[in-house]
Amino acid sequence: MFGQILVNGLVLSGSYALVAVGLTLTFGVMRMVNFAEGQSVMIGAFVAYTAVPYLGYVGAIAAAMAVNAVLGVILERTAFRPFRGVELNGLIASMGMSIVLVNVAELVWGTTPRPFETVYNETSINFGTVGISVQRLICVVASAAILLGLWWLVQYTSLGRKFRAVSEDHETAAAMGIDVNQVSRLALVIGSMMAASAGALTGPVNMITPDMGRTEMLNAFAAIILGGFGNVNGTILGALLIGMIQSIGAVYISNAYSTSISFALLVLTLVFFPRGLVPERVDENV
Amino acid sequence: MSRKVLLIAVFAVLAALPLSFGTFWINMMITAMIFSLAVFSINFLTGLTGLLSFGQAGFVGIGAYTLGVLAKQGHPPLLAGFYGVLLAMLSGFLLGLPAARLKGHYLAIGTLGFGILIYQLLTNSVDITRGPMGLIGIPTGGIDKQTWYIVMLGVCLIVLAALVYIDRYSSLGVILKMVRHDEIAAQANGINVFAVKLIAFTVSAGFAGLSGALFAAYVRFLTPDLFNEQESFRYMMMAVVGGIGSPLGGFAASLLLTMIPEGLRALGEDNYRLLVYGTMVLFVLWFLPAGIGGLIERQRR
Amino acid sequence: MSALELSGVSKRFGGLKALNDISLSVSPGEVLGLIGPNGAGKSTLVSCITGVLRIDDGTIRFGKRDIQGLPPHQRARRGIARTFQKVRLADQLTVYENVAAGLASRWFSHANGWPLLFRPLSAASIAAAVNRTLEQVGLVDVAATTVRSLPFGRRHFVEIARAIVAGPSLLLLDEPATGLTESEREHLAVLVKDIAAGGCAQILIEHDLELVGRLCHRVTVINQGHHVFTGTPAAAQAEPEVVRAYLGMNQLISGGADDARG
Repeated sequence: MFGQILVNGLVLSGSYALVAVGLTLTFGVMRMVNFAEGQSVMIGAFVAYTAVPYLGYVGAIAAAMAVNAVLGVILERTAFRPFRGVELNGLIASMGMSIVLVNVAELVWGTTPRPFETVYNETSINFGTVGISVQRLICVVASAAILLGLWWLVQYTSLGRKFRAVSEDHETAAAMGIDVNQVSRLALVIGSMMAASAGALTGPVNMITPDMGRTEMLNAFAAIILGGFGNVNGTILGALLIGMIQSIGAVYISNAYSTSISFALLVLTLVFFPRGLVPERVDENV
Repeated sequence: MSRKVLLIAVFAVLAALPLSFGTFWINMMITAMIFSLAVFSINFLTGLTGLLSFGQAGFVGIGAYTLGVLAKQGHPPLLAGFYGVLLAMLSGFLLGLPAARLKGHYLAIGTLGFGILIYQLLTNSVDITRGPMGLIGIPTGGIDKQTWYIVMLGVCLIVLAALVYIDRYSSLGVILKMVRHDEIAAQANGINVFAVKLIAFTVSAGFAGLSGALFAAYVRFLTPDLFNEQESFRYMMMAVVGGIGSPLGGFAASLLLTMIPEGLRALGEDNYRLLVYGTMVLFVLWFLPAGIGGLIERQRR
Repeated sequence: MSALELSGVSKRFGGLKALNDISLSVSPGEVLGLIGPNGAGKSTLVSCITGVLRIDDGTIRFGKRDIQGLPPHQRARRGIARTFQKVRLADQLTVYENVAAGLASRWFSHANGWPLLFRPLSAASIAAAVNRTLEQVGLVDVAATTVRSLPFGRRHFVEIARAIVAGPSLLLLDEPATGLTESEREHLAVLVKDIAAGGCAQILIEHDLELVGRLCHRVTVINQGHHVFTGTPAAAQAEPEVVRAYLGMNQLISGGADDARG
């Protein structure tokens, strides 16, 4: 039982982390919340679903990431760059994009939920008393690998340094010669690609529908509140926490309430920690 | 002065419309006006006082379900509606207590979370609300559409006038704007910023609750899905398209963003509703960043 | 009886002691200069007086009352007003509207003030107070102009008007002469004297020592959070400690050049 909870929790945490980190990265760099992120997950899932018969599973994941990279560029141009400085409008623009994406998905793939079949769904591996489908195992391992890759990127590469510089302060970064627009675009591209991987990896675990982006995003928000906006490490930990709590809650309370749990947690955190659990730098000077 | 005359003329024309248009359009106008009250709640909270709320649909839902449940239990609908608004205001107060200490994106996500919790509550309290099965047959029939139309027009006119007065002429407006622009300066001038924010959340929730109660009374059928976070986003989008600080723009945006998708549905092009909606929102944001209200302001000068 | 009395006030920020055992007092109608090199703690002290910052030690008495427990808006309602180093006005509103906002402390401080919230800004009682202040400060010609279109110098005066419209008993001026032209400086001097004549106590933070010498009855000099001297401006000039503090600052500024030459 404990093992099963752990595994379920890791699967959830993995996908939440992929989405949440993309969100937090974008937020750190652009200071705007990307409300279309959930739909990026959905598009990634559907593209992968469509591509599997032609490219196999791994190829499908790659295809999903490629399509989403393009999506990221489009998002940056339409929903973010025009609104720098007027963050509320940027927020609303990403909302508008998100419903456009849902409609596009409905037009292309229809509204009925589809089962995302892969060979890995069928087979299971047993660790003692705990059975885990290979698909879920792939979820966990792949999420961990991608997150590790991203962490390494942010900590050790020059691109990561640019991300961190722009997150600190746009003006200083620009003064240092960093092309803020390009960095923003890359942040959005990477975020969308990570969302694509989340969709492609967890799609087979549940059914996919054009509506699925909603819950993806909500859980990611909970993770970010816990981990801190713009804080990649904290967000990963937050996602881990949320995933585990939901997994435990699904067993001991009820499945239906699992999203409520994330949100109750989110609201409670904000009640006691108005600046989030991991406070950002306070730059208010009287 | 001439602007007020123009405004009255527009409303007079709107009042006369039911005589010339069919039931479908009247129905849509009524629904749009009911939604506009929720948009007004955002104009007051975000446009005037500078507080974000991505959970307004929750308060709309509380107002709606309170009227629905109480009316079905036999209470007079007017009283039930009154309780709905009251309960919505209480919820707004409860949200305000922690929310008044939140800033920026934390406030956005926090209010989003609160709205979702309310939605979950409405969905899962099946004993009271009948959850996803829906609350059917709210006993508020017997009022014909023409009456509804005039009533809604009157209500919207009153709320609009009150908001415009507060914004443009009253001392209260200046206080709210100070809280919006500069909390430290506001405090230094004797304004209890926390209390003002709390009151703003409460009053704004009241408007949203009123919208919900009227919705329940008019449509007479409720499901929790009508009050989820997508609906909160819709109200937010309407508010921004209308110009976040302009209730008049919000009214126009509510009409526009209700009529066009519904019109498409009537024409049978149901599949493109969200696409059209989203694209309209994007276009307004790209080319009219101050929304319809901004356009009106420019004409004024 | 003093309008404001600080006794042994200290303030820590983490490990750093920003204010160390500061005592001062101002009487009604008096202008007290608060001077010292940059970073001495002047603005911190003002924030402690207005209640934005909590003090760690000492007492603050306003009139007869210990105001330590009071939040900033309560202190404002009791008659403490301030201007800011970096002017904090609502840019999109007119001068009239900004000044009217200053009446908030009066509207909220007693029961019959509340209904005024719903009166129009042009209501007689509001207009009387605002227009009177605009005249006193010399802003009548720009009453209907938005702050955004005003030159920076005049914005200082709008802030002062907002601060005095409700008739405070203590006014804290945080570097009001920054960026003012010659004639504006003169105008400020006349205004400060005028406000003092009305019985209001003032604390003037300024780097413009000539202005300080002219306007202040007494000065308090602080340096690096410590009280250095309190007395008349003339006495302050002669006091070695004060000269050292300011000389130190001058050294810091020109020291680099000296080293280059030497």
